[in-house]
This record gives sequence, C-alpha cells and structure tokens, in this order.
Amino acid sequence: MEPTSVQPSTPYRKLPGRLRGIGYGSSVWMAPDHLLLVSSRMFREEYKRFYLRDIQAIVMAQRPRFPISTRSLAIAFAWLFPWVFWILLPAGFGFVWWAVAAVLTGSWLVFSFFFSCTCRLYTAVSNDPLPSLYRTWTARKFLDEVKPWIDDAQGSLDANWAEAVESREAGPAAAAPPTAPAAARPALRSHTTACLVLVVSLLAEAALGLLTLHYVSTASGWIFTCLSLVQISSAILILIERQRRILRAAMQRVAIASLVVQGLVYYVATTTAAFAPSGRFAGPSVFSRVMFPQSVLLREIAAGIYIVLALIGLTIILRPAAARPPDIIEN
Amino acid sequence: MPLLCARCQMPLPRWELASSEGARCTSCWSLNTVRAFPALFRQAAAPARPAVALDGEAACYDHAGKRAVAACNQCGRFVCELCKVEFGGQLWCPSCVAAGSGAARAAHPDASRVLYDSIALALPTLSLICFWPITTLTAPGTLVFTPVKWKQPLSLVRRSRWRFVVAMAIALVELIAWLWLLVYWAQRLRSGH
Repeated sequence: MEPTSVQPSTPYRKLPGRLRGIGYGSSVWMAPDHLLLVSSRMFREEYKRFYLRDIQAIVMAQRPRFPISTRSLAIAFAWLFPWVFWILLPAGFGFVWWAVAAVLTGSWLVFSFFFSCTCRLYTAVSNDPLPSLYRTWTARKFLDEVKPWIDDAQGSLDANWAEAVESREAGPAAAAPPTAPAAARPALRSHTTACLVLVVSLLAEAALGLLTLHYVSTASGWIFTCLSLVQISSAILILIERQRRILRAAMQRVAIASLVVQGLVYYVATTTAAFAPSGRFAGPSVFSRVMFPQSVLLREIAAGIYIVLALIGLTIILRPAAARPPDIIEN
Repeated sequence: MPLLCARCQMPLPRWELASSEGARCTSCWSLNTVRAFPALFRQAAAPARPAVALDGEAACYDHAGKRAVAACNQCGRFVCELCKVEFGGQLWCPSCVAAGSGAARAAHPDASRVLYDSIALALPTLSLICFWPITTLTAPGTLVFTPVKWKQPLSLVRRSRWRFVVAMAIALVELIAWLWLLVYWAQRLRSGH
C-alpha cells in the first residue's frame, strides 16, 4: 500500500525528448535543483534524480537507432486504415497507397540511420543512458536547454578543460563497492501456474485450430471460445503477477503477445466476415463464419503464431535458472 | 582515464575532446558531442572513519567495535561516526531513516509509483480492443476501481486525473450498451422472435 499523503510538490518542467513505446516510455523533467529521469513500464513509473551540482558530463554519440514509437505505430495504423474500405476505393488508389508506404518507410530509415543518437549522463557514482533522447536534433535542444542551468549550479569550465580531463574518469569508479546489497530482494519466479495454463491453452488452441481447419462444429466453436477465455484470463493474471513483482519479465511479454494476437485474430475475422457477400458462410452452426476461405488462412496463421508463442513460453519455463540473464527491470 | 564514449563506453582521446566539432571515438568511430561540467574535476570527499570503542566506552548499536558519537533523536540508539545521519537539524540512525518514521517519510523521495489512472483507462479500453465480451466484467470493475484509487498519488510529473474521468465515461458507455442489449434481447424473447 502506498502512502496517500503526497510529498511537498516539486514543480517539474518537461525537457525536450520523449520515448513512447507500447508498454514503456521515458522522459526527462527539470526541477529547480535536479533533473528527473522518468522511466515507465506498463503501469509503473520509476524515477531517478540527478542533482545539477553532481552532473559531471552529458555525452551524445551519433549511432543508428530504430525505435518503434507509438507515434510511428499511429502513422502506420493511419496508413493501414484505407485497407478496410479497399473494395470501395478507386482502382488507382493502390499505387498511391504503396507510394505513401515507401515514402514513410524511407524517411523512417533515413532518420534512424543518419539522425539518431544515444545519450548518457555521468555523475561521480552513476553512468546512465537517457533513452528519451534518440534523435540528434532533440538531444541538441536538450543540451542547449540544460547546460545554462548546470552552469548556474556549478559554474563553467575553462576553455582548455580537455587538457585536465585525462586524469579523471567520468562516471562511477571501477572499484566502487555496490551501494545496496543485491541479495536483499527476493528472487523473482520464472513461471507460475498461470504461465503453465497460458502455454497449455495456446498449444490446445493451435492444435484444435489445425485439426478443425475445414470443418467447424458448434461444439468445437464453444471449445475455441472457452480456450480463448482461459488464455485471456491467464494472460491478465500473468500481468498482475508481474506488476506485483512475483514473476520475471519474460512471460509477461508472451502474455502481451498472446493478448494482441487474440484481439487481432478476432477483429480481422469479424471484419473479413462483414465484408463477405451474405450467404457465403451461412452454415449449420453459429461458428460457420470461420469457415470462410480467408478465415481458414487466418486460422492457419493464428495457429502458427500460437505454436511459436507456446514454444517460447515452454523455453522460458524449462530453461534452468543459471542460464537466465538477470532481470534488467528488477535489478 | 578520460570521458567515455556514449555508444561503446571506450575512453575518448584528449585531442578529440579539445576539438570544437565533437569528439570522434577511436573505437566505434561515433561522433560524440560532449558537455562537461566542473563536477568532473571535483574530488569526492573521503568517508568518515569511525573510531574504535575502548573498554568502558559506549559503542554503536550496529557496529559493536566502534565508538558511539551520538544517540538517535528518534529511537535513542547509539550511533558511530559512520552511522549518524544528519536530518532536519537532528541526528538519526540509519534504521529510522530507512523505516521512514515520522518526518523522514515526507523527505523520502519517491523512487517509483503505480499509475492507477492508466490502469483505470486500460481496463475498459484494452478489454474492448482485445475481446469485447469481457467488458461485462471490466466496465463495472472500472466503475469500482476508479473511486477507490481516486485519491492515490499519481505520477510525479503529471497531475491531471483526466484518465480517471475518461475511464469512467468509457465504462459507463459500455455498461449502458450492455443494458440496452439485455433489454433488446429480453424484448425479442418475449415477442417470440
């Protein structure tokens, strides 16, 4: 339970740059005496403060980076949207559609290759990346905005500071002892019952999907629905367990992927059926629409994805503890 | 050792740092833009060394062999030079500061927070996107969750509670839609269709 009393509020001002992905994000904020690095993962925000008097250096290095931000996903979705009305669009629209895709992809690749960077902030005891600064123009704007504030707090350096820097190392000393005992945190579990249920339901849905590709009865339709519900419930349970710091991050990714695939398959099947001529999938059961030819292809694809996800899940569950890398989010 | 390249963490050569066009890393060949500050040349203060407690002298609560120099203003335990924490004009022991007792709670800066407003917004929207039938559970769930968590502290940097309001609105719309569907089905059943 978190305290309900809020500490004395600090006025924070947003600094240039923001990284926003699906389920994660990062930004840097300015307070009168410190910079606040905000890293968000799903429904939790983590904060790190860098006091202006302690900042030794901020270094930006140019390098190719290919972040998939929510903005680029929104643009991709906007590009994909006319596909829903494909039948209603004029014949020449296809060329324009693909040309727009080429321009968008090309510009994203150019920005990612030639105008991207990585930024790090050094103090005497830390050396932290600033993930929100991944484009060079944003990083320059950030540096121009922050430098006067740090100069105010520390004063400015001589012009020939580089001569003296050889004798000092920015960032934490190599032999510095760890600040907190790592063993104090309880070890996270690699899997729980919910993980097993998710993997089994994924495998069962894939197997049933492949076995009933060309014939769907009411009974198998209901089994599909039940398996989907089990899958969604176990995925939500995994997200909750991860949020409560019981589970490691790996299974959470499988759970998110299975939820996304479930949603996509459901809505694509519904959309395909809605645009099909009436009567083409009229059959003996309420699940006859999944027998529509495109739906059979969709079910094959979905079964393939479910098998891949289940195999990834099984690998995570069966992998010995020593072989697993440390959880970056947790540690 | 000098400043490190932000990409490969290898040292940047001095002659490159002196260049006005940025420092080229000799290892990964990245062009580094460096903003250095006087803290880079500040020497860290040497840690205080607690004195050894002699026979008959009061010893630190946590370090039995070290001489006590003060008593914690909160719990009264003896603390050595290493353990004493100056806090609000008083001396505290590390346990009291760590426990966040009394005024220490207010001074303890948040390291993380749960975004309850985002959870509230995700409940009705994600369930609608992923699998709409479960909105029968998530919509009423949101209507209960939102008032319960309304007073919880939000993000340190954003203050508005608009996500809670939007979540309630979406949940209400979903609930009304379900009620309308139920009434519609009931009427159809009654009329014999």
